[in-house]
Amino acid sequence: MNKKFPYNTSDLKPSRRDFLRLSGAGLAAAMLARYGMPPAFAQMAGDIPAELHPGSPNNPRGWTTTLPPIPDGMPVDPPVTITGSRRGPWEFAEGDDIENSPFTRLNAAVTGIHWKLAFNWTDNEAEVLQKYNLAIASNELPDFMETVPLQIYSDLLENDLLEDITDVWEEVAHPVWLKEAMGFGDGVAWQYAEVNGRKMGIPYIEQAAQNDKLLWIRQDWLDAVGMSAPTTIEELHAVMTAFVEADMGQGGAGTTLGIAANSQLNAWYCSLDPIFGAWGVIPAFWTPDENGDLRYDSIRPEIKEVLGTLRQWYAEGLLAQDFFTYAPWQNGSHIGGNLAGLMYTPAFAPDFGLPDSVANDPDARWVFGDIPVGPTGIKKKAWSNPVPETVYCFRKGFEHVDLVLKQIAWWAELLQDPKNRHHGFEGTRYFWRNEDGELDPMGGTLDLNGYDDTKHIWGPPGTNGGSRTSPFYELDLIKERRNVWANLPENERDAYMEAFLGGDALSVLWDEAIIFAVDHWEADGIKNHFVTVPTRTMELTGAALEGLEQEVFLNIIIGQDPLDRFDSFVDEWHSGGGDRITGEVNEWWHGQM
Amino acid sequence: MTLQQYLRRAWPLYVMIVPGIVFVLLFRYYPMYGVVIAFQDFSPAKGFLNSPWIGWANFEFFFSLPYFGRIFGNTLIISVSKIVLDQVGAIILALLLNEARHLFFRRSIQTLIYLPHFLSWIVLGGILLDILSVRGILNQGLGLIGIESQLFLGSNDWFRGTVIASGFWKNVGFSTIVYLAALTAINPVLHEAAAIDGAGRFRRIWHITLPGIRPTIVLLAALSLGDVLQAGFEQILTLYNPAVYRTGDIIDTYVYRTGLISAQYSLAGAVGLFKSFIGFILIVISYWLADRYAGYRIL
Amino acid sequence: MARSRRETVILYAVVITVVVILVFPLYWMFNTSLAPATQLRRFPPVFVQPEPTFAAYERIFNERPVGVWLRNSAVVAVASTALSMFVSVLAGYSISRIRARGSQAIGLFFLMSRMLPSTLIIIPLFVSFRQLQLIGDLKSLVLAHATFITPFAVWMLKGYFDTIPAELEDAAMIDGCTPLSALLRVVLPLSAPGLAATTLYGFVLSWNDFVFARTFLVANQNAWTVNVGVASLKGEYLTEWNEIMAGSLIAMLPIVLAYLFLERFLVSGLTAGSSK
Repeated sequence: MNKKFPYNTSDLKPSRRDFLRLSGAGLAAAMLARYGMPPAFAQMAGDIPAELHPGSPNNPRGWTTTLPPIPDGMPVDPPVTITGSRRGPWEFAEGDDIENSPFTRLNAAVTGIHWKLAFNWTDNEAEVLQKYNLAIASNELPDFMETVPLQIYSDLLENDLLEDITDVWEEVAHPVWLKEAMGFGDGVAWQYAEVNGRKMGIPYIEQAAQNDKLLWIRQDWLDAVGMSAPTTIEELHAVMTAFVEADMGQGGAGTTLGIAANSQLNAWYCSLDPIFGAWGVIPAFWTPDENGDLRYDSIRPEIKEVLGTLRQWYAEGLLAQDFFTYAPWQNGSHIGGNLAGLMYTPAFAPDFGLPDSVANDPDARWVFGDIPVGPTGIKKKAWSNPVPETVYCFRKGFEHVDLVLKQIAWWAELLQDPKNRHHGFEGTRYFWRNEDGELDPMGGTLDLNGYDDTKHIWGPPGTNGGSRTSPFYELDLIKERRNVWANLPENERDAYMEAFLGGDALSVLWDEAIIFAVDHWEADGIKNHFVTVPTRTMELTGAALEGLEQEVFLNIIIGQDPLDRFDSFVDEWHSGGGDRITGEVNEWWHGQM
Repeated sequence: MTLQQYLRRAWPLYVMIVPGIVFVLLFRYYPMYGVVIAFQDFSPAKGFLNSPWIGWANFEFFFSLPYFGRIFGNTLIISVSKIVLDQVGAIILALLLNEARHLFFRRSIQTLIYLPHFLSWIVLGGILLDILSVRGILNQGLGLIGIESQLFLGSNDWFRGTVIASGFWKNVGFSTIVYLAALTAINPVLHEAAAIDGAGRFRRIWHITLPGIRPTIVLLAALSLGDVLQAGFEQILTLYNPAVYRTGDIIDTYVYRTGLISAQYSLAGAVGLFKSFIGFILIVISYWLADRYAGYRIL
Repeated sequence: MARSRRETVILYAVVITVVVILVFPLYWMFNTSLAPATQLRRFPPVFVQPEPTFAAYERIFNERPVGVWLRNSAVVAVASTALSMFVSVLAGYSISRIRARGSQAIGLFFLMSRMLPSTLIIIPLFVSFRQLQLIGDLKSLVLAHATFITPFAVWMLKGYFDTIPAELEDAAMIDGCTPLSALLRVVLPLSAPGLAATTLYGFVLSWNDFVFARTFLVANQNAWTVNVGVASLKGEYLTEWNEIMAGSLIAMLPIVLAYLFLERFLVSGLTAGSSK
């Protein structure tokens, strides 16, 4: 991220006027002549005015963004206005807003669609439910609904308020950027969006293995205690003990943690799920048994063994005394403050925690490794489903589903194909930059106002939180730059490639971690097979049982309850609605097959 | 005075009350039709008119929750402790400040102590987790005087105390201001007369100051009784964790985890109605008690 | 009045101790707000920032319309408090002075209005405001806030008015005053501290509201109140506490100003009291 990028070298820099003069038919030839570069922008789309064109007009190395071909029949004339709901928060440069930014202006020029905001919410779970409920109650559903939560979705379905998009999809959905991209894994993308064979919305798709954990380790600590990376849970225990006994941490005597953890046993950061996985179970997951029925992992006897192990670790002081009072993000201070040298965290660790760790201790050297295997040789972890419980929907009777689908595909192609070199709108504050204001597409230190296309574009490739149309978008981009761009002779790389290739050690680590995680995604993951709206009994007592489960598990680990409390928990679970839930879950499960 | 005479003199009083009544009718009573959702299986798509009626089922479900006793008990313990501590603390603090003579000193302190009231629990929760964690400032301080570090947020022995104390911290300053305003209404002549009669400081406080602010005490006590089932939802939500559900889980947090999260509007509505009903009963009782035993009509 | 030196020392010691405890977390916030981003997740936490910086403040002011948020909050708080005080002074006074039985029923009417929790009225209120085209407009918040300030204010004011002897107005009315002018000329000046405290109370209720503001205001962050704005600083995963602390402290400033403004009325009584 610190790689300098020569865009202040004035002798190489065409002015904006040069660019405007050059743009159009003669541009490619002129650029080629001037910089001896193969044009990356041969395909200028239609009549998009230069001032709306994304890219880097002042860039010294002559690359600009290529726009995908304009979809058939677009821009529509007369233009249409479509209302939509959005998830915030977002920020815009002075004078711009969600309805009027370089993105919407370009979009209007390409598609003829003008977006109007119906309502928005931020990341609060109760708020999104409330906002949708209020919209339904006041009979003002927007045309396009972003990330509708499953409960709202089923209410809308039940009351026939959603547009069936099956036929339009067949007809106009882009073969590559929509149909193929969303067709992975035998159609798992459609587990929520398709109901009784009809498409009632568009799936939300996260990146493959996005939340799959890797074991992150301080190599310098390992060297200091003369050990190697643990491959079994037993070795993990030995390494944790050695770290703690040697007081490796930065916080003074007695403050080093064996492993960073928090109140959620299966968390998005500093999780313990691979420990449970080493015994072949994941709390709160539904997995198939030998008979092909689904069973609830939290009540299996293996859980008791894991709880016993964790209980022993806690008693030995390997977990923070108050680990269970922390939310996952608060572990950031354990990692950043260099109190812990081990954690189970997804590939994004180099983005959160590690930068602080390295800043506070320049000697810190983090590596990642495969998760250690359990006593019976099992190596498993929670499989992260790239299709979360939410759907993009259209209001019943909305006439322009086809236009929205075309728009989504166009932006997906622009953003997800690395060959298009999209990096925002330089000069308008909407581009990747680091704190010094320099181009920085690695995104590791995104400035608040830095370029983040997810906040600005309407439709799946632009949803806040990072939805794309394909779960392999990130992997493809990494492969492109490692396998193609990195092999080009340096004088053939354009500035865009250079910027992408110029990541520091942490971002290289991040790329490698993503490749590794995706490689192990299918093989090491335990899948939660229950993927639908909650059953009736779950709605009534499911949350109470979950609360009981978390309470009992944590209290066993910290020694406030005896280990045998697990057995009475299992009894309580069965009689407190668990049996009925199991019945309902299996009714759904067998109905699926 | 005949009724006619009374009305001739007092009719403006009746006119003065009209704007208030109109306003409250329009924006507080009219929306009360929302209460029906507590008795429905409400779906926003069907609306108030077409959602199925299910009678008391939401309430029955709430009362039969496996942990109803526990969450109700926790709610009462935490909230009553908070009310008592807040009122007593605020009165004592107000009396102390009232005795402080340096005007500048007193003004600055008044300003400072009422500030915490304006912090959201989301922000405060972050600070408290920082200060109260095992490695936090408080435990480090205790360590200096040889006390072992305590799990203020993680142990069932401490959690309620932490909630009560931090709630006190946040609100006491503001209640103090209300009492300070009431203290000003006491006629200083009474104090001077009592002092001449040789009454000591505490006697004067007991016999003059406290009776003088009695209406305010009764009023604030009654108001807070109305909120007796509000033990501090946001506060506990930001501070608690599953290990302290036993002592810290209150009605609101429980309903949030079970009801709101799964969008059971009706259940959340029924619970809200139940809480308000209890609060209302308590206000009526305190009204009656105040009238009967303190001879004061708070309304 | 005589007060021994010892008593004074003890008094001040107690007050100062209490205040230090009460104020420490505020200091902690301020301390955190001055931390450079790289120091946020450092351990152990420090009492005094070695390299204090106002970067978090700069960032918030540069990147977010904080001034607009503050102005919105102030407009809503002032307007809703003024509206509530207008109806509540009149209502509170007449409930305090009406000697007929009916006054209890009216008091009950205001009391009852608090009975329904906001979870139940928020949908109907939203639907009404939607029909009135007020959603997204600060006016919707002014009205919504006034609905929950008014019942409190009626109660509190009635309590303060009760402490003012009715003989004073009777005397005024014998001199030809109407009840309204008696209220304006005799009662209100005497109940200045109570009015100030109630105004402050209403102002605070409005300022602190988050739920209504989030429900009735829409996406455009230029329409937000400061509470909604500060809450938006908290990201989903990453939380830059220095910015949140800075934002919260900025959000408190107007409250201090409102307090300092109203304080002279609170103190007018206090000064009289301290002359004892």
